[in-house]
Amino acid sequence: MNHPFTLQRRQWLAYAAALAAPVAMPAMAAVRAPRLVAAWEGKNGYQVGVLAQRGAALAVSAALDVPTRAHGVWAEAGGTLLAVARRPGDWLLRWKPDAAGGGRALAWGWIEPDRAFNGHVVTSPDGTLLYTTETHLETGQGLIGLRDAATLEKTGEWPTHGMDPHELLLDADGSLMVANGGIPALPETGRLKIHMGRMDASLVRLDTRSGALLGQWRLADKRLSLRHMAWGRAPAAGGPRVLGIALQAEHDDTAAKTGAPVLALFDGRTLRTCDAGAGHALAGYGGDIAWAAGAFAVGCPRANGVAVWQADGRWTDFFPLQEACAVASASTAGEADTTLWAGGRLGALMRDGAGRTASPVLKNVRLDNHWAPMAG
Amino acid sequence: MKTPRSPWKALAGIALLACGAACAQTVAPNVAVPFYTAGDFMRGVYRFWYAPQAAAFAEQAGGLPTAISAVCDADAGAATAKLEQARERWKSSALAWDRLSGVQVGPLVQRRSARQIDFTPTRPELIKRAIQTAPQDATAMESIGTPARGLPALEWLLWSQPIAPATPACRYALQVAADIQREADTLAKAFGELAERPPGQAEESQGPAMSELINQWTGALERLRWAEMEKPRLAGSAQGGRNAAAYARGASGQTAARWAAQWQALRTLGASQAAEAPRPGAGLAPIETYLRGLGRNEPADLLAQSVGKADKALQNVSPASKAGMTAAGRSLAELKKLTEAEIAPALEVSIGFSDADGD
Repeated sequence: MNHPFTLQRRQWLAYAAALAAPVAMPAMAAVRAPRLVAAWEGKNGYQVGVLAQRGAALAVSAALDVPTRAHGVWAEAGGTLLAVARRPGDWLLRWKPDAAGGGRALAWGWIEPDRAFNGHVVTSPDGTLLYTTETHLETGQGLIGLRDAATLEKTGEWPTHGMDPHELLLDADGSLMVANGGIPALPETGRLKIHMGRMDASLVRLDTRSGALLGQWRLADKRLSLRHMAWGRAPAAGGPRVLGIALQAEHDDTAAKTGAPVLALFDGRTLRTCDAGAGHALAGYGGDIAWAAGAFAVGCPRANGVAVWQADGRWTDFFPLQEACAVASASTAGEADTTLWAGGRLGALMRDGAGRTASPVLKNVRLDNHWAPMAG
Repeated sequence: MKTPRSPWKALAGIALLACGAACAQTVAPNVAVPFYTAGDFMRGVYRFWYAPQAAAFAEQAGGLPTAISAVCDADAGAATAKLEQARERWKSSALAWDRLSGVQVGPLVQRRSARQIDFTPTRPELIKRAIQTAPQDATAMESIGTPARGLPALEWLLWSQPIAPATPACRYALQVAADIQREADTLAKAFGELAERPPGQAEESQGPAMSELINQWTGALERLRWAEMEKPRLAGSAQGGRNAAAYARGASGQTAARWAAQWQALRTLGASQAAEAPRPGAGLAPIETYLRGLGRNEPADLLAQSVGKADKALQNVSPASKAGMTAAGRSLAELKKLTEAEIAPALEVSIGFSDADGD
């Protein structure tokens, strides 16, 4: 069994010491951290909450206990927040932070008996519906759950035409992009993977008027699971927006898994993988993705850093951060997506388009995969 | 998964002596603990836990069709007594199943047995529809959905809407009972074969089986804490109880007994109950003892302490005791956290429920 962390931790410490010490405080002063909504494991259990800058650290400004590990988070337009249980999950929560550092659960949604939440939710453009990725526990088939945004109760279902649907995002035309992770599992026993020869990951586009399948794309390597997604900014020349997809390798062969790509790009017609730069092995796992500071950033916890590519798939850089996973983009001075925020085991990393960096400490939380900036 | 290749006896006694009275394990501190391969460990688990539990379940379930049939054939004067007897048989069958399925491995997982015969919550409307369908044999039962089959469906037919003699519902209950018996027989045969496999056979394949057991043991802790105990309470109190989910075995009043049976499986497979560690193949070596055999006394001590703490918290816990459930839930969560952080790494097992599995 490999222990990549043991070896790379030293490397990370060396990098981090060189990177953080001289610039942390000035950069933090210049670029104030956004309030970030996230899920984590704290001292006394699982929570969802908000992290905010406190001095040179990111600290909990609001938190709410949740019964099991949360995964996806979503900031709604009105300042409320959504969180979904990690797969196979059974709860969906709307909550609101309060000034006292806590939070108030506004509504709990419970999964139906023969379904499981797969960890992600998005709201429809008009805010009346929620879309959730789910699994049919009898057949293992993937579903999009349509839920009344006010009550969180299910109003309908669409097939995702694959297994293990994970993250989902709306496109500008109103269609829904869904990453079918494709990993066969027995959800009723937890997350036990079975019959991996049947793995079948795909990216699908669904018509949100009917749920009809508008397109389906697969990678050549059948052991790459498509899981998390972020839209890139539309190019100035008016071409299509590119969708970045973070990958999870499921190869039996350790070498194949370690060297597997962690990013795929979809330009509306073609789905392809992007290689890491020479000398970088990303350990086959991208746990989160964001479009930030003009590039796709993928959190690579097993490689202890954030890997960055340009919109056309060209390798850019690798920023060390111990157990880096959550990545998000934030605005600066009214300009969108100018700053990358990455969360790791003990600290975070900020990097803006001008190359300024900061490394605030992360206090008292062990982040789950994702975080997202709160509006306002 | 690499298994250390040390001599078959790892002298864990030195470290055990250092541990002193603070340690909760019952293995005498000056006794050498044998080294167990993953194959030894799994053979002990199959032979001394799963095979006997599966046989006990098959024995109890074997009497279910007869007991139901007695209700269906009873005259008016004997119907109530026969129904009570059928209920008692159901209780003993359900408890045997809860013990066997407390930690699901091997055939239980491959056959999706819990889904086949213990789907909760059962669906009364589907049961009523199935009664009208009137399946007559195993083949016909395959077309009946799992929410209308298994122990929860039979519980509904015995308590929620009790069967009466010579009715279609009674005849359907008989088919449900026969279905449970078939699954029980299949499981008993499968675990019996695993238990009888001689040492050395397919030894190299036992690493994944051991890993599966550790994963499923961890998952079972979470299932007992969350799905069995806390979720019904939380879902029942949220949004005015609109999404309330009943405790499993609520209709029969066997919820607390089910939790105790599931915990018995977890405790037995987790920490030592014996004064001496068994020779490989001669007894059940739980996870704690397996760790000691590998020379990993520190995590073994932590595991023994945490299991002991949970055992105290789980004594007499029931849905009626909110404080008891809170304490039990907390101790189960702590035990799960310990397993993910200390026990699984000590065994070089990747826990599918943890960060290591991605998402």
